[in-house]
Amino acid sequence: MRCVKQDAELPVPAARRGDPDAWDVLFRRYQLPLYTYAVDLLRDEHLALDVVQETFLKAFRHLDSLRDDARFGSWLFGIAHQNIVSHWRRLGRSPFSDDPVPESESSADPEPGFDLIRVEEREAVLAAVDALPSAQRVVILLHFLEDFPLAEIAAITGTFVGTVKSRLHYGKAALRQRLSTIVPRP
Amino acid sequence: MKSPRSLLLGRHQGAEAKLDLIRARTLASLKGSTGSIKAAPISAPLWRVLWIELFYRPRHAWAGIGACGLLALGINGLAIFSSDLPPTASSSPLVAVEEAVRQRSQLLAELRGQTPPLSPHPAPITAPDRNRRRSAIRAESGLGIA
Repeated sequence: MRCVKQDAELPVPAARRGDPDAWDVLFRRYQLPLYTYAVDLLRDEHLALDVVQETFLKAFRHLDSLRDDARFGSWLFGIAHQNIVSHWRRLGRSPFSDDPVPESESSADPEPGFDLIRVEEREAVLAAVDALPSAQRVVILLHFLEDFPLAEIAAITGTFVGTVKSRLHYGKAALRQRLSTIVPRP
Repeated sequence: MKSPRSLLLGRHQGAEAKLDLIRARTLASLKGSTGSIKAAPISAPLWRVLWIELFYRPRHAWAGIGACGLLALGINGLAIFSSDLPPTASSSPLVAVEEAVRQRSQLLAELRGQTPPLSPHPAPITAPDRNRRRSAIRAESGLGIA
């Protein structure tokens, strides 16, 4: 069951007719998830804001290419994903490389004597997500943020469903392992 | 307990103000650029539909066809260029025929006991005039009876 608002309830047909209120609703609905997705992948606040703005503009200009209104969300994330990839390439980074995040960016490894019990679960989850390789992080973010089905994640990222399934599986396994290390169960 | 979604979104809740500003700016710029916030029409004109369906969507296929055409043109041009090169002595059929004729005439001369012709183009061999008198032939060669 999808825990986020269904795209069929969104005012996409009204946006096609040029209703400004409809666009406002759509932008308002997706601005934070898009920003979260972008900033968690790019790790740069300004670039992420640029990505959100570019995504809004492209969505407005190319809404006629959307065939199924119910897939507005995945279509929008697809645009954002392409923007992120182009930013990555501009920065000279290889998109979806499986290089892990440098340890300095991750707060997962506790220092000696650090009281693990005091680490909040929230911080642990976020740190564990941050520590994932980017290929897995992309899939995990899309899964957690919008609960997209595998086929839609594959369409957004331009990969095969099997690849998405595998990355999701290994990403979740890595999260579980990391969380069990950081927040040991009583 | 919070869901992963709310955890992920909650981390960037502080950016909401900036995002609101971006949303407002984007909507304002869209209104300003188009006069009204009218997106692309739902029913596109026929030429646009044809363009998209026939050319834009299968653009990779068209690119492939174009590349094949260019390749064929290139190969064809290369073949024409190579045929324009000056022929070598061994490859020219005219030279081969001349050589064969020269060998045949040399062989003929050997069979007749004559020296081979020096010229690569031997003079035509004329048949002896059988109507001439033998006395006339002797007189020409100086073998006449004194």
